[in-house]
Amino acid sequence: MLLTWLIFLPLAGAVPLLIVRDKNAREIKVWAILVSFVTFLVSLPLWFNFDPTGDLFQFVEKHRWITLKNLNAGYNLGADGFSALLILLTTFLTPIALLGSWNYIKDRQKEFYIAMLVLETAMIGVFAAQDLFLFYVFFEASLIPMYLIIGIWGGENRIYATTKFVLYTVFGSLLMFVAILFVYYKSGSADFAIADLAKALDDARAHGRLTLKEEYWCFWAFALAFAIKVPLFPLHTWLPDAHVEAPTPGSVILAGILLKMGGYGFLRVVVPFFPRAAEFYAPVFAWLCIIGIVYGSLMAFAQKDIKKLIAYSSVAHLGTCMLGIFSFQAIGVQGGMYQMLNHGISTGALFLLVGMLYERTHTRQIDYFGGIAKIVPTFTICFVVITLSSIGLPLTNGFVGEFACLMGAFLRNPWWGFFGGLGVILGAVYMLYLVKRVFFGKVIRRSNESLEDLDGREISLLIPLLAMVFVMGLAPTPFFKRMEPAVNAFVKASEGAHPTASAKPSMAALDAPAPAVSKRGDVQ
Amino acid sequence: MDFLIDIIDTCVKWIPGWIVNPSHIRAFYAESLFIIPLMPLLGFLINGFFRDKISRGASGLVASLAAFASFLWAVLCFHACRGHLPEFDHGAGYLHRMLSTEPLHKVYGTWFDTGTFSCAFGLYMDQLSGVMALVVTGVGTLIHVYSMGYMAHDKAFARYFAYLNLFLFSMLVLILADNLVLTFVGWEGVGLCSYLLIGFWYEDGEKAAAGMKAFIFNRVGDLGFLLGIFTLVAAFGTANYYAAPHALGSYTLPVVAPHKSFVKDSSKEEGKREVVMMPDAPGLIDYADGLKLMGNADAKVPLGYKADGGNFDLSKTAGAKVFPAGWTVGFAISLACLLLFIGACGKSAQLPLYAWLPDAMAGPTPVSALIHAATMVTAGVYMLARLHALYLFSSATMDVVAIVGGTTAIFAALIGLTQTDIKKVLAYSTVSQLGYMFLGAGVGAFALAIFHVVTHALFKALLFLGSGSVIHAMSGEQDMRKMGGLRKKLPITFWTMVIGALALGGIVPFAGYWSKDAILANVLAKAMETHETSYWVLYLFACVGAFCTAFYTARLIGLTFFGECRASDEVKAHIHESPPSMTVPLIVLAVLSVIGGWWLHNDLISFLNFGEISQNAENEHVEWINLICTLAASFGGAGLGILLYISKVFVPKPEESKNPLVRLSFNKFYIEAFYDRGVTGFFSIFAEALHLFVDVLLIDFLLVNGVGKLVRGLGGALRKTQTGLINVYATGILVGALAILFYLLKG
Repeated sequence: MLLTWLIFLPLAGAVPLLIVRDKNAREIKVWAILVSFVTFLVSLPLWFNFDPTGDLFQFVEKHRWITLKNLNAGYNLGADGFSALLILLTTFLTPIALLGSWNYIKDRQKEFYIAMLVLETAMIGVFAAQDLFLFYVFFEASLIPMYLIIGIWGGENRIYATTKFVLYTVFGSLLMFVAILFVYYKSGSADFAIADLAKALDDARAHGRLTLKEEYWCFWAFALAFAIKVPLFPLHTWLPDAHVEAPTPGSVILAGILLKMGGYGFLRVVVPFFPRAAEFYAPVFAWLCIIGIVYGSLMAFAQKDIKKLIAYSSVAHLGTCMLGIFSFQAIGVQGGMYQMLNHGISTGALFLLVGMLYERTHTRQIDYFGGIAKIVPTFTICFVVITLSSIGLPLTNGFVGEFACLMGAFLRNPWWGFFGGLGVILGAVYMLYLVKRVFFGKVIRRSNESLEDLDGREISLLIPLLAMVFVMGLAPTPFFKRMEPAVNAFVKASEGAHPTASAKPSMAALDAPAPAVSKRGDVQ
Repeated sequence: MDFLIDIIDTCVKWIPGWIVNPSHIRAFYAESLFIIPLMPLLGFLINGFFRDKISRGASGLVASLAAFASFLWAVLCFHACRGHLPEFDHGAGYLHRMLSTEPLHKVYGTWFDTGTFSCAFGLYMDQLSGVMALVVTGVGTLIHVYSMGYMAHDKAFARYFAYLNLFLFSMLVLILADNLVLTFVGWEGVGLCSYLLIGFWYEDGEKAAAGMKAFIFNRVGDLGFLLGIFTLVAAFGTANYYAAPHALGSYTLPVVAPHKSFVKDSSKEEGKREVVMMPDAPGLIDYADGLKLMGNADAKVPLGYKADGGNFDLSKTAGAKVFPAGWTVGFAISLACLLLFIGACGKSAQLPLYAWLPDAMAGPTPVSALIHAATMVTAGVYMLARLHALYLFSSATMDVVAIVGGTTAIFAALIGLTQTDIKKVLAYSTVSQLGYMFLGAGVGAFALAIFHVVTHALFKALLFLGSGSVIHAMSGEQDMRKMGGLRKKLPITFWTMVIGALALGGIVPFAGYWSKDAILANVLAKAMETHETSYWVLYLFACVGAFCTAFYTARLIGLTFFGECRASDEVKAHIHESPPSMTVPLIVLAVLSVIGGWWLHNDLISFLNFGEISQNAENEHVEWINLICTLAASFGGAGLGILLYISKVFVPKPEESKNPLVRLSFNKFYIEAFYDRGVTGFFSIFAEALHLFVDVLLIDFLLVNGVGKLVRGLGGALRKTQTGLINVYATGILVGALAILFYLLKG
């Protein structure tokens, strides 16, 4: 029942808010933060009681939900390593984001916190659902609160941004919906459970009921929906707009968690369902990721708005994650997944920090700042530490993820490793250039001289993030251990349609006896 | 330091039981290796967290003590792993007899384990890393002490010492790491500290920019380093240098063992075949040794090779699938070495990634001495020496190393001839000397390269600290043309710097002579062995470089200390000798610069005992030719410098010079201008253009919003047909009916 509790706790917490008067703002905030914090506490068994050596899926729940004549959707929940860690990321970031919006959101506070709690329900639902139909419902449901958060509490150009965000996403997910129905009827699966569907699809492939062409089409329908969400180049242009307009907590959640649904979709659905197509199109996606890394970095470099810069850096970072995943190497997938968590932590923190700056100055233009390191030293230290995590300095979380992603890419194709690795250089270029322009040099504006350093609330919401930067940088092994079974299942699934898997470089398959390479003459 | 060992010996005698077993002592030191990097880390944490509360004196003291404690522990551990030197036989102490000759190796725990690749927190100290650790902590301690005087008036005293300690920590991790990934941790860590310390006075935008430049140039190299690690992991499946120790201090190395299965073999060589037995979970160096023991001096075995006797086994690695078919292990090693060398070029400021180092002089002068002369920049040389067993498999990469090193040596020396900023002269000199180290490594004389690292650390730290003392006295002035005549007012600084200059200039018998001369002898020997023109050219480069070095060093001394003082009256009034906290380190380093080379030249090389010191270099023939060449070069250069700048004092004005060669040298061959304006400018314009044309125009305006506009436009057009007038609809129906009729009749 843990997962059900987790999903519906925030929603239930939102209900009492409906009857509270708007002027009790403080109580509303405290209540919402409390609810999300309790949700976090409730989610902790996902870490402590998750047995890396146990079943692939744990905390499983199975109930009948929609049973029509030929439509059989169940309420199936479960968590493997991917799900558990992403749910934990969600429950970890949400209270921080809510605390971060304490001063930022000034009007319609009640509605805002309701939207955030509903959003948390939808996000946990996406990661917990092991039924494709349920997954889709949550996937779409997460759009609505986000639409409102950007559209109501956003910046000046919020309507354009939020419309763009929703239309982009809906375009992809409607295609996906058609493909879901097609896959369901074509495979002849008894229900929508993701594992059953994957099995049925394997069966259909084996018996020729699913032609290669059909597989390719379905692959694209699914992949497009998730690629928009990630976002992969060239489907990324909704992201900078959405981020610039979104309020701080919206940005934190959007970058920290919503984007991860894209990567998660590839891990959970696209590749296991359509391994042949995934294998065939992997180079296309890898090169799109690489373009995303380089292009996103260049875009970030050219920005004048701090938030837009960070938004573009997300394009680059998510490119690295997806490159790792599309290597179909165990280490690359591990890295990709880990890097998604890291990105949630470090980019979430960056958005919070930028929000704090915005609350003080009401601008995010880089030109406006300069030399503020002297005035706000604590803020500077936090920002620089997070920057270092974001550019993957060893012993911070960013390094391990990036290293594993790039190694996976390299082991698949050395050129992927090389070109993907350009992000290592470019990331340092745009982030340090940002730090230099904002914090170093002389104070160019008088008004900046009276900037206040972080207060207790702000420090307290940054501390967990800073702690995670080092915890995940120094002790990543428990995370990797939890992911390992899921990663191995994924890598195996990606090889599913390839009985001659030995042609593919995979370190996971290396424990099998390798063909003996012996050149007797070379040894004395 | 021997008396320290004796003191410990005496103490140890009174503690029976637990210490009787020699392996206990080794175990103790292996266990305690972590103390060496831990000390500065603690210092960093104290100074970092309490930077507002800690007093100045306490801050400097904590940092210096941390460095000194680390040095002390390094000395003890170094003795514990040091080679079996003859005097140990005479020593009566327990410690002396109990210490074996094996390296200390301790794995403290797993860092990350992805299931297919894992990496540990492990420290390793052998002679090589021991020497480096001693240099880093020893020179580091002196520079900490010096900094207490130099930075006395700075506002951010605690922050400075926090960074300095963090640097020591990173550098020690780099040196003592037992695997490439952990080395990379230190590698990036020192880069970070370099960034923070160059931009220490961040309120000056240019200094902050110099820090950023250093970090980015380093990152370019770091990508090469990363790809090098990936290549090695693909080929060998590990990034460890050596197999993990079984019990503490006990090692298994690849050995040649009789092959059991051949006893029954009917071939003629029955019973005589020998195979190589590898330790469990071998490291990179073990594999290299194994290949060599098997007689594969050029590693021409296919990737994924598995020996059919013994347990040399690469068949579980991904190499054969990652790299093109037909690649040998040797190819992969060459590629990895080349990629790692790119990393070394970034960190050690070699062509073409050297341009950050001169700018790095924006940092406080002790930082320039510690990071940008004595220690961090030599990390590349250390890495090559650490992996020399791999580099020796790849003659092509070694050629590249030698060529890059030799070219950098003369290139930077030529630039140094005309610089007027005292620190810039020393910066280019550092680049040039690093070039010599790589030249030495490139001809296979890794031990000599490390020898030069050591001597260079001594005399270059001395010169930088001396120049810091001068700058301190001159109220921050760095232009040598505004100095002059300081020898009377700064006697200690003057004399110590003269010693440093003699050492740098390669004058017998000061430290620099011993190492540089030996490197040059090896280059000459290599040229004679191979008869390759390129090595003759490199030898020529090296000699001309030595000439330039002696010349610009004499020029530096002349312009700074001789002639009339050319400073403004205000500055003149303030000129004073530095406080003892600054002069004592100078004196210590000066003494070491006098005796260091002579003292270490046999010892160090014999126990550094690796690499291929050319037998030819021992040849008297070669030695004499080389001696004449190097002495001619250094005395010639020094003589010319003395003639021009000491006996006459000629104040150069290179920016006004009409001589194209002077202009070329003064403007650094225009390469830095190319980086600063060309590359940076292109990069920003390209990024802006890409943003405007692709993101804004193509994707957003044309495609995304274009689709929106198209839909809206179509809707708008179609809307007009919905008029609501019956007769219009009726006309439509009629036209439609007619069309269908026409179609049916025709069909």
